[in-house]
Amino acid sequence: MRINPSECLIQARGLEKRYRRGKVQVEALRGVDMDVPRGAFVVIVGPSGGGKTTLLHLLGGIDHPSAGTIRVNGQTLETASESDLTRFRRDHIGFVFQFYNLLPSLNALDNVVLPLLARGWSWKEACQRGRSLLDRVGLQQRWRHMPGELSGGEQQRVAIARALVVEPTVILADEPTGDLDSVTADDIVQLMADINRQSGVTFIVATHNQTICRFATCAYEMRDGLLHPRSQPS
Amino acid sequence: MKSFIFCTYLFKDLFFDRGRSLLTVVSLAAVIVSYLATSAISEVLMEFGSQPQTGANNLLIMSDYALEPMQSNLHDNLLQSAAEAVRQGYGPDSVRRASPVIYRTLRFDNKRLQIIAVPLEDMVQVHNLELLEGHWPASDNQVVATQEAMQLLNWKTGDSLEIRDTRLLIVGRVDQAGARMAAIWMNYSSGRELFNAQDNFQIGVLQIGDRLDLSTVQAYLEGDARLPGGYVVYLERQLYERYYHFVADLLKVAFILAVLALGVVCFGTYNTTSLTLMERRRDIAILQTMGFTSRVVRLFLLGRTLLQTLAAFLLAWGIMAAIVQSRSHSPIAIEAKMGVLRLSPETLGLGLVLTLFSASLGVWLISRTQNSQNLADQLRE
Repeated sequence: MRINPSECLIQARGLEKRYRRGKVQVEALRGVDMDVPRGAFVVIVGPSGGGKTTLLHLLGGIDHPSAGTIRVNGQTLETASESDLTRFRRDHIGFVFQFYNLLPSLNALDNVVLPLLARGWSWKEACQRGRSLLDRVGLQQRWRHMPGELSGGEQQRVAIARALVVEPTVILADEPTGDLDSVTADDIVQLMADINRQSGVTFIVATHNQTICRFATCAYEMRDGLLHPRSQPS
Repeated sequence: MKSFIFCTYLFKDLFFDRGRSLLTVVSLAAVIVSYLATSAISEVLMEFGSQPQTGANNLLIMSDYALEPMQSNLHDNLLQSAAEAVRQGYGPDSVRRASPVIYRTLRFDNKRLQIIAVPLEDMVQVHNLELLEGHWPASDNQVVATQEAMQLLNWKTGDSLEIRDTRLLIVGRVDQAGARMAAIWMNYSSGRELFNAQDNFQIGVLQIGDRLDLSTVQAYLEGDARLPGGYVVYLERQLYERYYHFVADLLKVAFILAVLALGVVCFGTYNTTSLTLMERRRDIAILQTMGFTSRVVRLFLLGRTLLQTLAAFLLAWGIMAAIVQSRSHSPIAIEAKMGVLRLSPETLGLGLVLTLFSASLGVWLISRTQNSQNLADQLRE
């Protein structure tokens, strides 16, 4: 898929990633090309071990590629230093994980405002913004609750609010419904699609749940470290 | 991240994890108590091994077969003959005092106590006793006791004790130039009567003039054919050396204990700290994913760890102070020499510095290891 460079938020070319797991050399990505337009809802489907998470890690500045180039919002990632990547993640990326990755010692609001505090916001301003985001994901009454007191779906909503709170350029969601029942999973996907439509935040969702593709503006299939475009959803 | 918010999150984290935090504090406290206890014991042992600064000008005469003073038995004539011989050899001022000593050891409440009888005026001039409380014995049934004896047997001035059916009144508390012996000092005439020592004593002390070389006088006395044989002459400090020889090994033990104590506090603190941090690796990875710099994360871990370590140190200090307090009425005694368990400011200060340093080292090493690992790998774990 090729798009006009001015509309292109993410551009990856020839991405390769190899790493060692014990004595075994794993070839997670074997030359991935990808263009993501601003405001897209991209879904990457594929079986576990296909390289989806690795691709999200490279796009989110969590890891360096073994070969290839990545530009996100005009910023080159493959040669960026660790401190540059930390700033990049802080300013541009929101993450949603399969197991929520909320800090268990903090309540919902504290978890949501953490990325703002990393940016040096004041407590009062951060809380106002955090409360409004919790309101947006339907948890306005639950802000005091600890992660252990919330259901899986509620925890994932908190994670989405945390990802959204810094108004990121892109939200990377790795199996966001993988730990949820089907009804809750539909709610979460619907919530992400609504946010994408209303605020124009770009989403890249990696999942093995094929039904999410119905929300996608573009979809890919990841298999054996290679990315294959899927037919455009209606 | 602003300092106030940083501290708020720090305390929230510690409070949420209070069970484990408490466990960490208790584990660290146990390590620190081990250090403080080992250090305190090694200090006591070093006290046992140290020698008093006394008897600089004294020559001691004892029976040549005696392994300890109590076994010695000298006749009254010997001391005066020896003093006369020295005066003849080195001049009339060469001997300042010639003082006989009756020496016994007895057990009170299963604790060993020295009983020493000397002429009253020699207590200060020859034996360097210093009166700390009360007065010197004024009659035959009055004695003074060293503060170690009073502490060991829980006596105080005005108490009385019984030796061989004779009631003796403690009228003063004395110190013997840091000798730290549990001893009772009495007038020579009282000792003679009490122990039925009519014409003999255990040690003869010759106080020699300042300008004479003690070793020369010692050799002179031992080779003097005019004196009867069967005795040996010691420099008083040599006798102390001989007496202290049996505790000299304690110094080695004390040194080993001190080194062990330092090792305990360093490795114990490091291990406890690093184990705790290993369990938080995923949380650290999440914070870094959200854009917290490794410096902020390290500061957070350091603050958290130092708070726990400080709490552990205070707890350990409290526990050790209670132990020391409870032991203050029953000092450690080897033979008649006393040692009191105590916490010195040096031990506490060194312990605090080492504990905080080891904890910081633990945080630094773990953070370094964590930083060298790929963030993606940490999230995958």
